[in-house]
Amino acid sequence: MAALAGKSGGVLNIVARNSLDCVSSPQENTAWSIVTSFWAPKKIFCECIYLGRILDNDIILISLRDFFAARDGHAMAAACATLTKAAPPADGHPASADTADELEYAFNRLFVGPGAVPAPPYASVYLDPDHGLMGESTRIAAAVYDALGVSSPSNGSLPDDHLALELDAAVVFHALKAREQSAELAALWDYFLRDHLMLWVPLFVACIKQAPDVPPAISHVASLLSAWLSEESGAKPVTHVPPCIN
Amino acid sequence: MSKITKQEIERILENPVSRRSFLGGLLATGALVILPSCRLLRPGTVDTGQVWEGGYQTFRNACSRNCYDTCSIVSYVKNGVLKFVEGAPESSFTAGGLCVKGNSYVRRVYSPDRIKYPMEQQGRGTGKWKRLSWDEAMDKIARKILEIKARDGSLLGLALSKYSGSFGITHYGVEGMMSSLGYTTRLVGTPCWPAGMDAQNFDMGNMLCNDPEDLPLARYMIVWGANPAWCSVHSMKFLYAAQEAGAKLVVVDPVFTQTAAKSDEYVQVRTGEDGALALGMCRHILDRSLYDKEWVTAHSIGFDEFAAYLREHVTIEWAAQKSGVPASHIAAIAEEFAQARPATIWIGYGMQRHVNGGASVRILDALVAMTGNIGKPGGGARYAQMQTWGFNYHAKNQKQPESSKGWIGASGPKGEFDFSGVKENVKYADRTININKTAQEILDTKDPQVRMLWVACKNILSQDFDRPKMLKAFNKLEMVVVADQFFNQTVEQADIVLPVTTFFEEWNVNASYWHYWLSLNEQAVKPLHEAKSDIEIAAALSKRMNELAPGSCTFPTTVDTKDWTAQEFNKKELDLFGISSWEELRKGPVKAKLTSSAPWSDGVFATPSKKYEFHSDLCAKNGHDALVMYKEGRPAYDKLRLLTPHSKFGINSQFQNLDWMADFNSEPYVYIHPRTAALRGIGHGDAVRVFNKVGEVRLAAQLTADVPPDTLLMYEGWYKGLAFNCQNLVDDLSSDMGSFKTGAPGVAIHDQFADVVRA
Repeated sequence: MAALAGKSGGVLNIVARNSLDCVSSPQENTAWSIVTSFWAPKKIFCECIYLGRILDNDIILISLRDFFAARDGHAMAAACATLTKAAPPADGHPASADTADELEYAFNRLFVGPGAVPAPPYASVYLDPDHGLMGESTRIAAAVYDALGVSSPSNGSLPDDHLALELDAAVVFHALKAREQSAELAALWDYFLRDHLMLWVPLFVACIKQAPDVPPAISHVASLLSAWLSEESGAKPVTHVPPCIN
Repeated sequence: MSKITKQEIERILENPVSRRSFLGGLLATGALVILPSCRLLRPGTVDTGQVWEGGYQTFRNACSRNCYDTCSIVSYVKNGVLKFVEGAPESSFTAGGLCVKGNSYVRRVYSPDRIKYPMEQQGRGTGKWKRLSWDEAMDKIARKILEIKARDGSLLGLALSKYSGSFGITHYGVEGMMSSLGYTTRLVGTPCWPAGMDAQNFDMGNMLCNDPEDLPLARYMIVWGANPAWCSVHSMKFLYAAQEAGAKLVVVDPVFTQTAAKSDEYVQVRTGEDGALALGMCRHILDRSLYDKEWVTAHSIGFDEFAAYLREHVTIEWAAQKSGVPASHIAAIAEEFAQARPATIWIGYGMQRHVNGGASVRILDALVAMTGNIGKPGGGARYAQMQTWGFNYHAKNQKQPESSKGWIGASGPKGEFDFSGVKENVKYADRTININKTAQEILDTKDPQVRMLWVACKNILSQDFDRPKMLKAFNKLEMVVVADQFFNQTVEQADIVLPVTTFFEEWNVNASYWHYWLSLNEQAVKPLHEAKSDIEIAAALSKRMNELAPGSCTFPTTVDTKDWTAQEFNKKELDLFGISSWEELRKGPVKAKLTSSAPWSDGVFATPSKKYEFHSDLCAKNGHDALVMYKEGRPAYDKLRLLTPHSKFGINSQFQNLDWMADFNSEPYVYIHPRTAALRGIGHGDAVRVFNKVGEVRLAAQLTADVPPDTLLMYEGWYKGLAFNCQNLVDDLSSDMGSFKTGAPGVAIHDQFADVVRA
């Protein structure tokens, strides 16, 4: 357990320096430092002990979040490495064979730009009738965060339904559920999972799977994302791949 | 406890109070403060002022595209998100409506395709992109600029290509950014309207047009080489009103346009022979003594010389033979035009994109003038105006750092919005090169060569001419920086791309070059992603420049787009619009207080003679014929003519990439006359190859008799994900005029030729 926590802390430290969404304006630094102060590996270790259980699923969830929040190849590769270790690809393919640069180019081509991306990582693109950003689904994500007592530091510049933020909210749910019994909390999570995440993440994964030239590492991430969702919901993995809307 | 339903959850989430108390006890224990794992989200709430239900916030916006209509917009915002847009009802020009493009604006802001972050390409055209922070991007750019300065001793190796992607006035801060760095190389001129602009300046001393809202007063209207049904939809209601009041609408165009379909009479002129047609009309009017003798005597010079020219060199039969319009038809419209009072001609920009374009505009001006229709409400040779553009150009007017070295010699105008005139006896100046020959100029320019190109408000690889040559020219550049909103064909060839704001995300002010309304553009929503306005980019660059080399850039290191918009106003501009403060524009657009809807109504012109000049020595001094006269068109260089005009679904390369446009217009076509197609065995929908000396384009054919048998037509535009580019078939030959007012001649976009075969 200690080794596992230490490992994930190392990964996360790298990500924290390079993550797109941690870029904060000066007035936001105070709030951020409260959170980041818990990110020394030792602290993580302590929290892990306290919680008594960091499941493989949590490592996967955290790494999935870190992957989609990553802004450079090193952070992407680090998240991939953790994921591959926690859940090796079924076919044994060395998913991390791509260089950090190649991973970064493919990641940007699929999710970031500057070109039109085949798999935009925002819920509203899949759920809203206009398939645009900042739609009703974006508001729902923000409202769920608000109910949890958290908010995105991006001040609206990153849509609230970006996958990395939603996975981060899942981490919050996990942590709260681990320490508190609450029907309301369970109901809210059930809603966020079944009436939000499960409605769009499979579509997003389908877009990745149908995109050309996807590196094995990113395919593996997509599969783990599907698997995580299935495990959370108790549903079978989606075998029917819906057509990609993009 | 019974299970909480989805509907209950949604109801709870809709209300900030209920959703924050939903988990109340749980959160009150401080659980979140010791959360181990949430890294992106943080404890706290969003702005409590937000409401889910209820009214929209409205904002004033202005369409900043290069378009006649420059619509006044009201935008509707809810929870910080732009929901929909409408035309402002206060403007009697926009009159509450927008065009198909304007109505798509929400999609532009929230398209998942937007450029979101500064990024760097590892090899142009490779598609290998890495994200940069703004600091990293500015550092790379600033270091390159300093390296160029160290190498060359000046910044003439840094060139700017900017044109009309946004006509918001603070966007001239891009030119300001260049000046704030030093003396640089500027691609000057305009591909749009310069030949006609010079022509009107020679004839009348300025380019002024009647208020389009006075069109209902016209008794006879010729729309000549313009297609307002697509390109100025708000003008159509004024044309219709005139028609309803009994006026005749004649459309002169080589192509049977949507405007032609709305006309009472369509005249299919041979491309580039507009001047011949108009001269035939002038000759007939002269022969029938239907011209306004009193007006030409009192208010013009050179008319007798013009009349002699007509008698000696022009016959109606010659005009018919040149223009392809039967002599009887020329005579009929000439008589009708001359006898209707007032009569007007809308001179389109399309008809002057020729080697004889300026000469042809002078002839159309002469036709309107000799019939006494200049200076008359409902009359006029309507081309464009810039008298409502009297801003301070505060963003643009930046000072070079002291000790900057530059081009030695006089400096002419740098485009049509440079009102500073010709400066002589300056120690240093910017180096100016022709924007319409961007590729050739980059290839040819030496001592120092152009090393770095900054592209803003422009998609040069879709819109500039001779694309194959442009790609060669790019090979010579050491760094290309492009600021844009979408990944167009220019961004594809960039080293660094910078995301820029849409006009909903910044403050600005906009005037039209056609109507007389002034519109404020308020920031309606926060910038999405990491987009910055052009002046915020300039400020960020200045900050890094000064960190690396103090004093190397004079641009302020912080700007506020609202403050900078406010600084564009002056008393003269406010007086023109009858307002005492720019803030009054927050209540809605205002119209200039015109003494008459017709310029030149007092019969006094801004020419050297103060009269209308059929004979212009100034024109001769600028290298053209002093007298209004015919100028030959470009000889054919291939079997068929090729026209590449504006599409209904885009303005230049903007809008067509949006999926909402692709729903209606998903792919480009070449339009071919059925007879021409039959000769080549081409059927409707066939894949074809259009080719000429410049290059080739592969696309599908559509057969239509709306185009003449000798003409191929394809609409310009940039389609998302398609390689289509009509500039593979358009060379960079100059038009006759444009240098006088814009610093470089225009370009003969519509003097192109090509052939077509089945692919």
